[in-house]
Amino acid sequence: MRLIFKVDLVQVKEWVMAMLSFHPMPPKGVTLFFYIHLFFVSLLIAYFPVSKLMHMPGIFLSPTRNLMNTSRNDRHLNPWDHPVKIHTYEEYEEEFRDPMKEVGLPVEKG
Amino acid sequence: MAEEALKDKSLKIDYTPPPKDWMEPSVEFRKGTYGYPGAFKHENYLGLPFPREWQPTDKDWKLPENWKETILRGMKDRLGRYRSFRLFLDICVRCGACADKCHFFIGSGDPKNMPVLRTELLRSIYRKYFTLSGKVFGKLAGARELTENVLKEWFYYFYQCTECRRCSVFCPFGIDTCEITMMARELLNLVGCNINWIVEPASNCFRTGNHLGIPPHAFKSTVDFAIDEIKEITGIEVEVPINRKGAEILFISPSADYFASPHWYTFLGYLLLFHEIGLDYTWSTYASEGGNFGFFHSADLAKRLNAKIYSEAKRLGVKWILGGECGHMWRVIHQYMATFNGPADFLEEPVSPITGTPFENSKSTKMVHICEFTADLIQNKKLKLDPSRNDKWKVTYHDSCNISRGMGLLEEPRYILRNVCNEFYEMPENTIRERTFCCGSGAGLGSDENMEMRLRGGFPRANAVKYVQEQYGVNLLACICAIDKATLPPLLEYWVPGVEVAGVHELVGNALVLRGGKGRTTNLRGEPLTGGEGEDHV
Repeated sequence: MRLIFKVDLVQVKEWVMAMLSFHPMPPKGVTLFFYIHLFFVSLLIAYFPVSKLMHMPGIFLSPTRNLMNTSRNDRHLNPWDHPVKIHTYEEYEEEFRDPMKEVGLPVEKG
Repeated sequence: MAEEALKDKSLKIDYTPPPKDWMEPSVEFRKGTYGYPGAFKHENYLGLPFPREWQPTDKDWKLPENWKETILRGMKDRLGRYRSFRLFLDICVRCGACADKCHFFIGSGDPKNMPVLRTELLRSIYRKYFTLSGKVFGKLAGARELTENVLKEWFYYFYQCTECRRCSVFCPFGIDTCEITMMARELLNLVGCNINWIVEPASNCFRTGNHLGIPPHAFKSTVDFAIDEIKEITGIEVEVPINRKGAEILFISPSADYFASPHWYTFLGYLLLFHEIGLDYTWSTYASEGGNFGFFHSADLAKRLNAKIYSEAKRLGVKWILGGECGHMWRVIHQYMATFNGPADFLEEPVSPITGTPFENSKSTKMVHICEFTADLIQNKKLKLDPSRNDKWKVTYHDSCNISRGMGLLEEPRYILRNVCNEFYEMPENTIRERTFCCGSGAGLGSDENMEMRLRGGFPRANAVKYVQEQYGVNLLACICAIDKATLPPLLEYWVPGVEVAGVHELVGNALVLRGGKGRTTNLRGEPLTGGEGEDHV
């Protein structure tokens, strides 16, 4: 459209400005090609809200993008933290006390 | 067995996509491409859901009656709990930037090993049950029904991801496929589908404190053996305190260090280093494993195993904790430990007793990486080093995924290597640092029955090693991860014969000039020294 089917851009601009100022008037000296082109642009804009480009804000929400990797400096709290069953040292020593004593490893309960 | 079978025929990599639509779940469990399921005994010991005897090749997986509801309930639960999980399922645009970044895709050519498609296996279920468009448009919106075949596909492909996070480096959205894999594995575990190379080490860790199930007295005799070996090589008798109360520092390393080879030489390296600087430290038998196989199972199991570290530090009354060379151990410590089992307010902020350097980067977790510690010693000229003792080696450095991408430890090990050996060469730029390639055997996939997949996954890393071997004659791959040390030797033997694997602290141990030592004639491996006079000067 820039080289072969040239469009009178001054006219197009006037038309756009007229629409923006709520005084629409039909453009002069614009060919069918321009209308086809305009139709495709409108289609693209109509498609945009359901397109994948809408995923773009996710870039700013992504935790791997917006969190600092400083978890050894600062402690982060877990809101749904719950206690878990662990194997305590007492249970461990209970099982292995005799062999530990045999090889001279210190134990809590003689 | 798989290992031997593979030596005869070479692996073919075929990038032609299969004719079938990806939405149709199909999976073939071929020997060498999957791990054996968790053994009843160990699942039962840990109290995991639905322990049973089964095989992936069975037609009937003996799933519990209400498996579908269990999975969907588990998914709903996790979508509410983890912002990242829901977001990562929602925002992917399938641009494909991750596709050829995964070592498993590069090595296998299976499109479902592209991180994007691997995630889509889970995402399609999310769409079907949790999004409006999926509920209304079904297949048209990329949604599919949760069937037993989908579950089998999950089992196959989510145990073919090493959670290395290379793809997330290249994702414009920063989608972390590792977290998707973690979620998928948690879901699979809700119905008792996991692999033994995760459950057994986890159960051993839980009971004995280390993944090999070594009881405390056997740990003691292993240490005694190391003391003898060091005496033979260096003429020095080192002291190795175990379970000693009142020490300043608790040292925790992965348990492979005192059992497997070539980890063993790194273990000798630690002992020599600590002896030379006169560190006031102790080992623990109760917490004799830093590595955390529970991490490959679920957040809860990771927390249960990790709890030992702080609890033992408290019992022994140490000031802070030093950690050895390990990969996922550091991912857990760096990213989760303080949140899991903190606050560690009974410990002090770590300060090196030799140089007085405060480790401010770990002021909350209070655990310092040995490479940070040693690099600081070298920087402050506290160590006398003779790099010529490592002249046998032309060294390259393999960034372990969890260390480099997970915690950003990139320079310290390189700084150490440049000081302890004369010839150090980097692999190509896009295969090191945060873009490093995985060994292909992490996250619980390092079992022998999975050898074909391991070799395929390790292919890109091996390729980079081959490049430096051809360019500079590199013959040693240094790394700081226990899984790397265990799984890279067979892998390199297959792809790049002639390159060996060592830990960074093995090379430190070789180069370290000890006070009062005799002249060394061999390195820590017992191989004769070449070049340099090898004297330990008084």
